[in-house]
Amino acid sequence: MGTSERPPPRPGDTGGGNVAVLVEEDRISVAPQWKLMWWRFRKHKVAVSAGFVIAAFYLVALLANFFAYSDPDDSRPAQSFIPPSPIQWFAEDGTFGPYVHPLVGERDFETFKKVWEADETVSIPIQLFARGYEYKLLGLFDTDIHLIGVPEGYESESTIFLLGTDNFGRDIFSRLVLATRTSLTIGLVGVFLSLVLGVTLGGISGYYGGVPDSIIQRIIEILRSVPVIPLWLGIAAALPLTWSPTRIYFSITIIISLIGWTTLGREVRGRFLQLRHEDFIMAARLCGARDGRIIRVHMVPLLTSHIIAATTLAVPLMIIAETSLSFLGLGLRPPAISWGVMLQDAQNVQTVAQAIWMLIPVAPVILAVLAFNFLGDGVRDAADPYGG
Amino acid sequence: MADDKHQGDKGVSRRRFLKLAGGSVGGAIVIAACGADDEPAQTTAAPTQTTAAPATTEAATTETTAAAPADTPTTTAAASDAPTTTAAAAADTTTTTRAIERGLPAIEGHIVITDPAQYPTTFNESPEMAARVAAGELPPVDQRVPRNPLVVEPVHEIGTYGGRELRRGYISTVNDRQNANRFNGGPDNLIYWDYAHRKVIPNIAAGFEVNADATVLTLYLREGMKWSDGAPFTAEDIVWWRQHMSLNSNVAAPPGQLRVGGEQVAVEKVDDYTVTLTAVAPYPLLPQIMAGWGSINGQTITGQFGYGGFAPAHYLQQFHADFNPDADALAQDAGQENWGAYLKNRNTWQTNPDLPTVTPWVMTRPINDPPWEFEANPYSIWVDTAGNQLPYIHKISMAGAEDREVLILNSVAGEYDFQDRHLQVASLPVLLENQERSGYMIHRTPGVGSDFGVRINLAYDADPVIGELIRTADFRRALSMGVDRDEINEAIFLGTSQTTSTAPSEQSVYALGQEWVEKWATLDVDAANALLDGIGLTEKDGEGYRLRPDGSGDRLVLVYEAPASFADFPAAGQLIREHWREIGIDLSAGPAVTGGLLVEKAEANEIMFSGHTVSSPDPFRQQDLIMPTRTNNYPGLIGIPYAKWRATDGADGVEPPDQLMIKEGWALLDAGLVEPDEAERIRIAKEIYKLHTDQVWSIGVVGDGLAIYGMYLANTNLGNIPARISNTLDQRAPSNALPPAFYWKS
Repeated sequence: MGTSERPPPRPGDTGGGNVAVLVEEDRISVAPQWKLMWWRFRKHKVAVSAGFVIAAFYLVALLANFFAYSDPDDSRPAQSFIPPSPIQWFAEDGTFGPYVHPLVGERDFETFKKVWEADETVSIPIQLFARGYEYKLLGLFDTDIHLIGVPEGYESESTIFLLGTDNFGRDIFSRLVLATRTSLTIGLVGVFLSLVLGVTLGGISGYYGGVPDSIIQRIIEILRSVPVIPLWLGIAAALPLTWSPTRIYFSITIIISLIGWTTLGREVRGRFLQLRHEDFIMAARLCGARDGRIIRVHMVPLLTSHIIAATTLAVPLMIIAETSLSFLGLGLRPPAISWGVMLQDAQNVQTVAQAIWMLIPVAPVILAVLAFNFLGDGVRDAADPYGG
Repeated sequence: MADDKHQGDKGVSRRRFLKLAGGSVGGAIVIAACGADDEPAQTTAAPTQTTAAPATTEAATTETTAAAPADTPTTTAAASDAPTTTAAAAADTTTTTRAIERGLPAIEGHIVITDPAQYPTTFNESPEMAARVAAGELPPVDQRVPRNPLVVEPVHEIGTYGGRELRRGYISTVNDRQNANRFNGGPDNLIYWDYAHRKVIPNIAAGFEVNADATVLTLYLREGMKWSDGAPFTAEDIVWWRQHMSLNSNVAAPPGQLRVGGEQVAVEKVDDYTVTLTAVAPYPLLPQIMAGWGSINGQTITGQFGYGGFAPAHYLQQFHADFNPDADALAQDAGQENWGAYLKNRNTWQTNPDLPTVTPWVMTRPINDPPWEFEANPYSIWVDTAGNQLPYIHKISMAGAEDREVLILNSVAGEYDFQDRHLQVASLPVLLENQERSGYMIHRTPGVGSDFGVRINLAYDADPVIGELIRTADFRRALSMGVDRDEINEAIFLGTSQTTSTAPSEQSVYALGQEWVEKWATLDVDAANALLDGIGLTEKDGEGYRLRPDGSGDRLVLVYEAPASFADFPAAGQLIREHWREIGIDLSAGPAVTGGLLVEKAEANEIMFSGHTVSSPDPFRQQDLIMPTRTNNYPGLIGIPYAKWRATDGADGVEPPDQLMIKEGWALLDAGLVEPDEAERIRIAKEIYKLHTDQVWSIGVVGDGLAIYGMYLANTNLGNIPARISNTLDQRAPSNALPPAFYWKS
């Protein structure tokens, strides 16, 4: 490796001549793998930013009910199709103090539209850590504290509408926050299962060859010939209607992951086939190492970069799958809230013509998918610090 | 002009009608399992008019027809300004004027002339027909129309021929066949309702008469009338249909509408232009039933089931085994199972362009090959008072849309010249907003009767524990009281409907008063919870949902399934799911199911709750949604096993338990059908509705709104578009707008 592979200089390290270069090279030659990966990763500015974005997404997912200010399930048709109503930051005298005006709406029986107007005579202050609907923080503690809210005597549900409301009068911002949690997490188990299956079965197949290889490869071929959408349709219809939508979707992702491991399995097999003839494997075997140890200690680490990349890239695929299948009405269904479900609600003429803000969930989908792809890119580069 | 109409109006039909209304004795009717259509029972309830009724309604009609024609948006807007303000003023004081009614014009329509003295003596035809006559393809027009044609005075003025084709839209599957039946089809009922749904008048038949004890209905046909292929239409076509189709088990089961007192109605030919229908018992409701929607109501609606009331004998004989020994071979060559199936296939207006019909337009390109196209019938029997053979517009082209949203988008873009079907009330604001830009106008026609409710399968037994609960009155009452009807009205119906139980509309002759409209039908979570606790559903799980009463410890989960047809019924289910959470009931409300799947599941008795319209505006004419009487299709959603038990006198199906009071309902129905006195019949009908509403056989939610055919879109350049029509299934609305009289103004 050349000096171009040097980690970026630390603050204060202005790169002072040959001595500094030598120190750096020492540092690199003694640094453990994870440290090298980290140095390499830090250089990838886009990946780092993407990492922050993803961290923020998962923070929102973790504390979804805290960030939401309205009960996302609370339908109030009387306040349907309220357009996004931003918070006013400064009072008329110029002092800082966020507030909103209450909205008054009535249906116009000429146009049959709801017309909303702000009542400017009343200003309702917005408070931090206000009380709202009850929920379990992190699934553990009962609380009713939310990041923002309105003082007692008012209800957030009928006061703040950051991103407007949908056809049932539910607050879109709060639903979006809850949808983030569902969309970012529901497929993770499936991804993990695919990973384990792919590495294990692909590893066995590639390492041993012969009969196990033939059996596993034939299974992979059969599984790969199963079309996913009809399978999805079939399972969605076969699972009992009395199950909750989340449970149904979770079951489907598990079943899909049982056939989704095949790509990774094939790749791992290929790498194993190639590696098992390498000298260091032969050396390990001659030293009496068992198969398990050879695979775990000598082979899998060499595949880490590939596996990590495959996993990070599988997550956005999972997000897209959830969104598109729910949009088609095959994946998650109401009352579950996800990005796809929210977009399905927006799937009609009146939304496109009159309540365009119901399409807002498109933004987090794009952002999350891009961020994961950039992160995956950065991680793949970093996981192979000696590569080009 | 208005006076003229009313002179024309006082024809034979009215006299006959009064006679029939007076001489009713009664007879048993079983509305048959006939259609495969999810047509809800919406009807302006006018079961049998009192003799005074036509006199008072005459006055109302005078105002109606005198109203300014709604030719352009400008004039209509001007005309509707005044009513808006008066209605608003009235609303302030009385609060009875519904917002939805504000600014609506009165119902108007064409007049059928039945006085031969007013018939035109010379006839005109369209340029397209004239060209074909000149080419020797057709006889001259006066030989094509019958000697006594169906003379109509169009709603606004005599139109002109010419202009481009009329564009409409349909959802490109064969399931959308009703789309054309209700517009391009005429209608082809032998007798039909007048435009306002007040009385039965001649239509394909030139006249009809009922004898004193209402056992014989005589139909007079039109001399010189022809099928669309030029063959004469005579009494033979009705008698042949009766003998060789409706009573031939290879073709169809006998339609229930022609069965009275346990015997089939005899259909006999008197001469070429006279047919009698003779029942063993009095059957005073027969003309009204024939004028409406069902198995004896025209070839276009039910021809594909072997029904219709008449059929082209000269054409269908070649497919009938009694007339052609090779009929079975012919059927198998065509890929059909047997000759009966092939006969019905050939008698399907929507798919067979060769089928002779009596419709104003004949089908030239079938439904399964979009666009679905129609051309004027050269032998059309409709003529205007100036002697112009109708239709004025030569061609109708129906573009296929993949789904409802595409169809609505096309409507908004002005791609259709007339559209009513599939316009959902939720899209009304978008449709209104684009009126001027796209050159159309939306006409609103609020219906009378249910827009949405929850149909309960009273005979559900796939899960016996839940089945037992469903058959407990207090359980159904609690569920009904747990529904927040205002929310559903606002979210799904734009607040245009009225919240209601299953009691008849306030506009119906059967109206029971506000007390019954609210009976078990106002949100009362505490009372609902008390009822549920009272029937032993006291155990709850950690999330507050009630547990099954069988001690299994599992949560009680109910299932609701609905098609997204007339309105977003599946979304309504999601709201009800939220409402029922408050009373500890977990409802699984899935996404939309297709109508076909829903019907299949209903026929397998696997449906628990479904969302659609509930009840019907007339217990005698449309009895199958009030209590289980239909053994198939959409009405089957309320309990097919019970209907089977009734239809087979207990040989098949399941006997309804006494606690359900279904048998009391059936007894009232049977009594009402043979009740000669009209006042008594109304009293019996009210008893049926009271029983229905008190027992909550279905959960009524909203009604009297725009959801069911409640609006139609018409190009502003089209003439003779009624400003508002009467919105009923009986009239096959919008057939009662008289589409053959539509014309291009420029």
